[in-house]
This record gives sequence, C-alpha cells and structure tokens, in this order.
Amino acid sequence: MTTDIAPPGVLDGVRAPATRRSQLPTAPRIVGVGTAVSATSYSQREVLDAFGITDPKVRSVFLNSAIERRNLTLPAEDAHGVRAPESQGDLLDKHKALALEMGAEALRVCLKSAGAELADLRHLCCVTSTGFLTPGLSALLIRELGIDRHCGRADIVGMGCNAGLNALSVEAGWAASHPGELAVVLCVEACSAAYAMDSTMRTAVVNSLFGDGAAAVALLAGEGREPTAQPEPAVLKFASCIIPDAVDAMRYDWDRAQGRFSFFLDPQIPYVVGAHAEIVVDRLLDGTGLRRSDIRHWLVHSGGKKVIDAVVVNLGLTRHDVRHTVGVLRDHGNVSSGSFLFSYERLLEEGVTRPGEYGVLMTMGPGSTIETALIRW
Amino acid sequence: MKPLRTLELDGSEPLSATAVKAVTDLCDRAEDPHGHGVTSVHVTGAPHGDWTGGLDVTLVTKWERALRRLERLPAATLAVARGDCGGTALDAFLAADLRVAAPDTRLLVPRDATATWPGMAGYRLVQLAGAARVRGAVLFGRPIEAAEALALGVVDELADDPAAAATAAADLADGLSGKEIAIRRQLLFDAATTSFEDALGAHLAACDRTLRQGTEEEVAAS
Repeated sequence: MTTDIAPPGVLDGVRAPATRRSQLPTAPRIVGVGTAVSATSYSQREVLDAFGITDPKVRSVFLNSAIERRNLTLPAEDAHGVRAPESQGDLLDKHKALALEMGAEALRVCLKSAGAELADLRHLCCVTSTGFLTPGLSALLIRELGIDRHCGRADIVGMGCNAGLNALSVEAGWAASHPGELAVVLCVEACSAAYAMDSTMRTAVVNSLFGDGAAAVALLAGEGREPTAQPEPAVLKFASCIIPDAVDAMRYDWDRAQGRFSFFLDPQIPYVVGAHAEIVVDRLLDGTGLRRSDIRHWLVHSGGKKVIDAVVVNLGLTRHDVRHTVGVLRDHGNVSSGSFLFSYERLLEEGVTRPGEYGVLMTMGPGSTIETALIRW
Repeated sequence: MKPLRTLELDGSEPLSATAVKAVTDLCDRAEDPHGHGVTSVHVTGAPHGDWTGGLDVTLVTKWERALRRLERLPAATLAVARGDCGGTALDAFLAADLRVAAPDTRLLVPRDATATWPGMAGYRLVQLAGAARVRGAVLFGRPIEAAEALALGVVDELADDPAAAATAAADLADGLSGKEIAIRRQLLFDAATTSFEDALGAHLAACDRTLRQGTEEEVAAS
C-alpha cells in the first residue's frame, strides 16, 4: 500500500521544492534523531574467541561479513573462562534491561537534538523484536523516565528489521493529525538477547550479523517552530511491499530442540529483497513527478553485505549513495529496526543536506517486506 | 533504431546555468519512459580568455552533478567531437559510453600558469587512459590530438563523417535495455576501485536479476 501524509494536491507540486514548504501545514517534519548502543563493542574475531568458535566455515562467515565491530552484551565467563549460553529466561531479562537502558539514552539524545524536553513528548511509539514485554516498553519507559502519564503510546513488537518505517508511518499519521505536538518513534533492539548457539550455519549467520542498538526519531507537524541551523525534512509519503511467497524466509520462532527462540534467514533473502526493491521505490515515487535520479539521499537499512549489494544493483545506486548504510553495518552490525536512523544521523552529521532535496528511507525484514518513505528537506 | 536524443554543446562558451539546464533536460528526456534509444552529445569548441569570470563553485557543483547524471543514464550515451574541444565540450565528451571524433579533433585540458582548474575531465581522462599516459595533458595542458586520443582509448573511433559513424555506433546499443546498460556500466566503474571480494556481491546480485527475468518469462509463457 501507499500512504500520503501530505494533503491532496501537495504532492502534485513536489517538483517545485522549497517554495511549497509553507503550504504543508500538516506534513510532519523530522525534528530530531538520537541513537544509543550497549556498553561494550567487540570485533568479529573477539566474538569468535569469546565463544571458542574454531569451525573454519563459521569463522569465515563472521570474518567476511563486512562488519568490523558490534555492540554486544555477552554472558559472563565462568571460572574456566567459558561463556555458557544463557537460558531463554535470562535472555528475556537481558532484553528488558538493555532495552530500558538503550531506549532511555536514545530518547534523551533525540529530544535534545529536537530542542525538546521529556515534558514535551505527547506520543511515543516503541519498536522491538528482540524480546517480549508486557507491559510494553513504552509503559516501562514512561515509568522509568517520569514521562507525563497522559502521553499517548503504542508498541510495535515482532515486526523485525523493517519495523522502524512501519512505526514512522503510524507516528507520522499521528503527528499530522496533532499539529504542534511532539511524537517519537523509538526503536530498541537488544540483539544480544536473541541468539541461539549450535553448530549449524543457520545460527552462525545470525550470530555473525546483529548488534545491540536503539534509535529514536522525533516528528512535529505544523508551523510556529523556530528555524533551525539544519533544514528539517518533511515526511511526504510511504510505500510498502510484502512478498507473501517469502513468508518463511526470515523468521524468529521457537526452536524446540534448543528450548528458545531462534532467528532464521534464508540464504536467498538478499536476492528476493533486491528483486522487489524497484517495484516499491517506483510505487513510492509514482504520482510525485519525481524520478529516481531526483533522489539525492538514500538511507537504506544495514541488513547485511549481500542485501546492500542487491539493493544497490537493482536500484542503480552508487557506493556513495549507501556510504552510511555500509558504514553503520561496519561499525555496529545490523541493529535491526533502528539501523536506518543510525544512517540518517550520520547523514545529518555530514551537513550536506540542502533545502528542496529529496531522500528515500528504505527498510526490509520479515514478511518478507520492504518499507519505504519519501522525505524532503 | 529509435531516434537519437541529441544535445549540441559549444565548449567555447563559458560554463553557465544554461549549459547545466541543457544537460539536465537531455537527461530528463532520456529518462522519460518512452522506450530506449541512444542519447548523444555533439561537442566542439574550447574556452579562451577569461572563461572563469562570473563562475562560482555552486554552479560548478551543479555542472558536475549534471554530467555525472549524464554519465550514469539508463541509456547508452554517445559523444561526437570535432575541432578543438575543451571546457564543457571536453567534460561531456568524456562522460559518454561511445566516443567518436573527427580527424581534426584536439582535446584541450585547461592550461593556466598560475591556477589549477582540473575539473572532473582530468579524473575521467585518468580513468580512461591511466595517469601516466595523460600526465602531460593534465599537468602541462599539452593538447591530445585525435590520433593520440584514439591510441589512448579516449576516442573509440575517428571518422571523416562523424554522423555516419555515430549512427553505426548507436546501432551497437540497438535493442538493449537502458536500465541494464546502467547496471553493467556501474559494475564497470566499480571494478576499477573495488576489490574482487567487494565486487562479487554486486555481480551475483546482477546475475540473480537476470535469472529472475528468465523465471518470470517462463511463468508468463506457461
């Protein structure tokens, strides 16, 4: 499906940028972003050594992942220096603790970058797939941080790596219908709480890929905001594409043999995603008058080396277009739902965005699905 | 063969917003969804006198961006040169996939005693011919004569009748998908700067793209 946030007629004029900004009273703008990671970062070799992994095939998967470091929270060593895998109960506890810690930090950084206080927060949408919590993360954070008890909230649980954009779509709709009220999407993934160890390549691939990370993005619609040093992009439109044939290609489900949740990634999935990337981007741009070559900034989920390659080839992108996608993968691994926001934050730090420029945000995950959003600075 | 989309660029005129718009318009037409064909630029002329007067780096940025778009178009691109070619004429010539030149062509990079204006023409010359072989031109402004340009591979073909040669060159691209040309071109560009291991993933993704097309055709036929 596609969703237009901009009111009717607005997208008709998107080829005449800058001058139309004042005519977008309800298209929400991205007014802040923040990220956080867990305390300790490990090189791939350090992770292999920590678990005493010697299988050359598994080591090769880790060392050829285009990941240099990831933030992880590993189980403590016992008296013999062995790190025994944690039980599912321990993993759930770890998820809760890490999610609260990283989530609070990302939210604080995001609000600070938006020039806002916790008290300004009117709606909070939390996203996680690496653990199950009831009450949800939004409720726990409201209590932990002392956020106003009347803050609206939602929790998106279990949608996977793409979920940051699903949440952004929902939250942008909320922001559009509540001009002047601050809404935040908070993606929190404690990937250290979602591993399973055995001798299969299935777990080796998963264990080589993911890292802990949280990212928050703040949305605000309406006029009256002070001009900022950097232009703030408006969120114009969303487009989605689910590939039901590949429903089993990415899944996080119960492994009866291990007595825990285990993530599965079909080796074909990078190609399946690549093959559908054009369809969804064409749909996103359809009716906007924009060509793919009009998109100056691409913020693609750092899903893994192969999926980035497949998206680059099928969308005709350059290595430069995905420099942040690749950089985030190198420095953090796949931090799941918040990855694209790590890239967005790096893009802002470069200071290269100019008013009138367009960007496409793109995430992919279980379903299998590709989610996209069109933004304009 | 589909009709050519053509732009004429005069390198003797200073770089201007008009030149940027001309290239951008050509790219727009090439990207319009009306089938494929060949996009061509006919270039001649080299700057003289105070050709940088009135320029600023913002305009140069826009020019380089427009050229880069031309260089990456989802269509085969052809350039035809005659006479002295410098400035915008040289820039656009070097960005094309197929480069045809009349025998009187001379490629001129800027020669200035006290300043440096490399432009990305210098970069493209190195990509095409290698640093050693274009060093004299880039450092000292030594003109590259047509025969030398051919020997360097900067020109693909010399022709007394560039129009006929252009038609023949365009036939090379006849029937090819512009989008697929763009993918192959990008793999080619990346090959010069990417390790084998880093390039492999993109090549496999391109293979998969082809294999899926075959599968889709089989499904459609059954």
